[in-house]
Amino acid sequence: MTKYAMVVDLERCQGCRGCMEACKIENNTMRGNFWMYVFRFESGTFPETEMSFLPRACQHCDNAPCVKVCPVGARFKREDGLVLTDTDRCIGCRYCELACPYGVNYFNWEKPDKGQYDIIDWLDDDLQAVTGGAIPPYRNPDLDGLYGDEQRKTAGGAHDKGVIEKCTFCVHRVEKGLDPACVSTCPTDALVFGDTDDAATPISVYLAENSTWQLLEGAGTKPNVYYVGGKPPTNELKEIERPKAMV
Amino acid sequence: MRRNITVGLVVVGFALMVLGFLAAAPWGSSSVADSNPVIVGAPMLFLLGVVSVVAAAVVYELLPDKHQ
Amino acid sequence: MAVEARVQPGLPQGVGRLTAGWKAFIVVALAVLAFGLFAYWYEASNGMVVTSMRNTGTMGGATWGLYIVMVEYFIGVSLAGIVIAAISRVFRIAELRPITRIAELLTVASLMVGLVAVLIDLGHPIRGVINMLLYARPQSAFFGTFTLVAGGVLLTSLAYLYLGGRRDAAKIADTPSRLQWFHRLWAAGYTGTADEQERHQRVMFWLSVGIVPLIVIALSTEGLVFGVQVGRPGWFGSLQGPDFLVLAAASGLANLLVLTAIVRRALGDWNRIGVGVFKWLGRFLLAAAAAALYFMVVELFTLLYATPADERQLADALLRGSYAWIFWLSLALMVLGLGLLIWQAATAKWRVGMLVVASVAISTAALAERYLTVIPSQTHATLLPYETGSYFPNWVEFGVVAGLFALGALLIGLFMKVFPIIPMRDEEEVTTNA
Repeated sequence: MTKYAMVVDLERCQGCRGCMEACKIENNTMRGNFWMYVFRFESGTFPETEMSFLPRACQHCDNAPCVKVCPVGARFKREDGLVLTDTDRCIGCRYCELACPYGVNYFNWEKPDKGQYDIIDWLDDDLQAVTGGAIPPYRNPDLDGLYGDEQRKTAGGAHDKGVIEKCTFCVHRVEKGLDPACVSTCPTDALVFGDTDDAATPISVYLAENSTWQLLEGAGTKPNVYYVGGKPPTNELKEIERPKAMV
Repeated sequence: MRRNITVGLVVVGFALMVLGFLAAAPWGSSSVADSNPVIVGAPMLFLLGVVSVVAAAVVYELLPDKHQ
Repeated sequence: MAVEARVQPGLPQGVGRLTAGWKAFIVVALAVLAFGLFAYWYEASNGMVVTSMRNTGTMGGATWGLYIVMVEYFIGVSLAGIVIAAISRVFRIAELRPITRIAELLTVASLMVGLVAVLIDLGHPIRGVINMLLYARPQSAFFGTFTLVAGGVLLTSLAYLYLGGRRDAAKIADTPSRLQWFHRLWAAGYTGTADEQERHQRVMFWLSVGIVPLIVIALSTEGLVFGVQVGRPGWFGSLQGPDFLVLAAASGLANLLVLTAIVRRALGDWNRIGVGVFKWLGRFLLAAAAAALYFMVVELFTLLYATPADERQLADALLRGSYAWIFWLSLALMVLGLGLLIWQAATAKWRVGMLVVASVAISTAALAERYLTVIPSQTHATLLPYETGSYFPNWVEFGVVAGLFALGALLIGLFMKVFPIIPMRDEEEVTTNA
C-alpha cells in the first residue's frame, strides 16, 4: 500500500517562498489563495531578533476535520492518504474551511478568468494579436483530469467560482510519479515527499533518521506533514508581513 | 381503514427515516476512501420518511368517513 | 380595488379588504425585497467577492459572514412560535389562543427565510439542494439543518398551520369572495361534525406533543454546527446547543410579541388580542431573557479567565478589542430588556408599548450575540499565528438581509389578507352572506 506524506526540514528552509510561487504556477491558483504558504516570523527584541520560517501546506490529515464536516462528501480522503476536494461535488458552504485548524482552505470568491492578475488587460485586442488569445498563466489541462480509483475531479485547477480548493499534494503530478511542484522547486531540498509505507523511499529514510514534530498535534488531526528542526509555532510569534495579494 | 393508513404512513415514514439515515453514510466502513452514501440518494429517503409521517397527520384528519 | 373589496363584507378580520395602510406596507416591503434581489443578483453574477466575506487565515477575513448570522437568527426565531402554539393547545391556555396562528405563522415565515439565507450563503445554491438530496452525510452537523430543520420542523409547522386553520377555513368557505376557492381548498370538506372535531383535537394534540422535542433537537443541531468544531477557539463546546436554544427562545418570543402588537394595531376593530395575551408573552419572555442573560454572564465570566493564547486573543477582541462595542451593547440591551420586563412584572402593570421596547432590545441583543458567536472566532481565533483579521458586512450583504426581512414581512402580510390571522371564536359564524 502507498501512504503519501511530506517532510519539511526547517533547518534547511530559508524562507524564499519559491514553493509558494511554484504552487501558484503549477496549480494556477487564484489571486490571494495560497495552497502552499510560508510564514515568516520575527521574534525577540531589536537587536536580539530572530527570523524563522514555517511552510504550511495542507496537512492531509488522517483524522481530517474537513472530511468529517463536509455535508456532501465533496471533501474526501483517499487510501493513499491524500485529502482531496471534488470540485464538481462541492456546494460552496465553506464548512471545511472553518473546521480546519490550519487555515489551508480557500474559497474561490470570483471567476478566475476575470483578470486573475489584472495588471495587464489580456483581453485587449492589440495584445491578443500578439498573444493569440492566450490568457496567462497557462492553464494546465492535467488539472481538469479525473484521478484515483474514484475518478473524481480533484486537481482543482479548473477553478470554478464558488467552490473550496486547497493543496492537493499536486495529485496530477503524483499520479505520474512526480513530486509536488513545491518539492521539485525547493532549492535547498527542505521539502521531501513520498511513500512512507515503503521503507526504502527517501522520505522514509529521512523520517527514520530525524526526530520530527507535527503542527497542532494536540488537535488530534493526525497530520501527514512532518517537521524536522525548528519548533512548533506559538501565538506569540508575529508574522513579518501579511500577503498583499488579495481579492 | 383510516387508522390503518395513518399507522401505515407513520411506520413507513419512520422506517424510511431509519433506512435513509443508515444508508446516508458508510457506517462501519473502515475505508477512508468511503465518503459517499451506501445508497446515493439516501438522504432523499430520509426526507420522504419525514413527509410520510407528517402526511399521516393530514391524512388522518382529511380522509373522508366511509359512510360519506 | 377598494370598491370591489367593499362588496365582500363577509370575511372576518379584514381578509380580502386591501386597505391603504396595507397597500403602503406591501409597496415598501416589495421595494426592499426588490433591492435585496438586486443585491443578490449582483453577487451571483460577480461572485461572492462583492461581499465583505473573505477567507480566514492568510486573507484575514471571515468566511461565514452576516448571512450565516442571519441563518442562526431566523432559525432561532422560529422556535418560540410553534412552541407557544403547542403549549397553548396542550395546556389549554385560553388567553394564548388568539395568537396561536400568529405564532405558527412566525415559525413558518422565519424558517423559510432562514433556509433561503442558507442557500444564499452557498457558492452553488442549486447544486447545494441537489447534492444534499443525493449525498448528505449524517456525520456532518448540516445533516440536522437539512433533514430536521428544513424537513421535519418546516413540514410539521406547515401541517400544524394548515390543520389548525381548517375549521376557520370551513367557517368562511361559504362566504362569496375572490378567495372562496382558496378557503374551500383549505377547508377540504370540513363540516364540523363531532367526529371531525374529535379527530382534529387528537391530531393537533399529537402534533403538539411531537413538535416540541423535534424542534428542540433540530435547533440544537444549529448550535452544534459550531459546537463540534475543534479547530476554532470559542466554538468547541457542548454549551453551543443549549445556548442556541435559550437565545432562540428569547429572540423568538420577542419577535412574537412585536408581531402580535403589530397585528393588534393593524386589525384595529377586528382584533381580539387583549392585554392578557401580552402579559403571558411578557412572562415567557422574562424567563427566556433571564436565561439568555445568565448564559451571557457565564460566557463573560469565562472570557475573563481565558488563558490559552488563542482563547485569550478572542477574549481580548470581545471584551476590549474590535468587537467590544457589539459585546457590551448586546449585554446592555439584554439587561435593559430584562429590566423593563422585571419592572412590569413587579408592578403588575403590563404595557404593550413598554413590552415592545423590551422585545426590540432583547431581539437586537440576540442578533448581536449571534454575530459574536459566528464572526470573532474566525478573525481572531486561528490556532496558527496568522495575523488577526477583520470583517464588517457591506451594502450587498445588508441589502440581501433587508430583502430577507422584507420577504418574511410579505409572507405574513399577505397571509393576513387571505386568511383570518386570529382563530375565530367557536360562536363566531360568518353569516353575512349566508
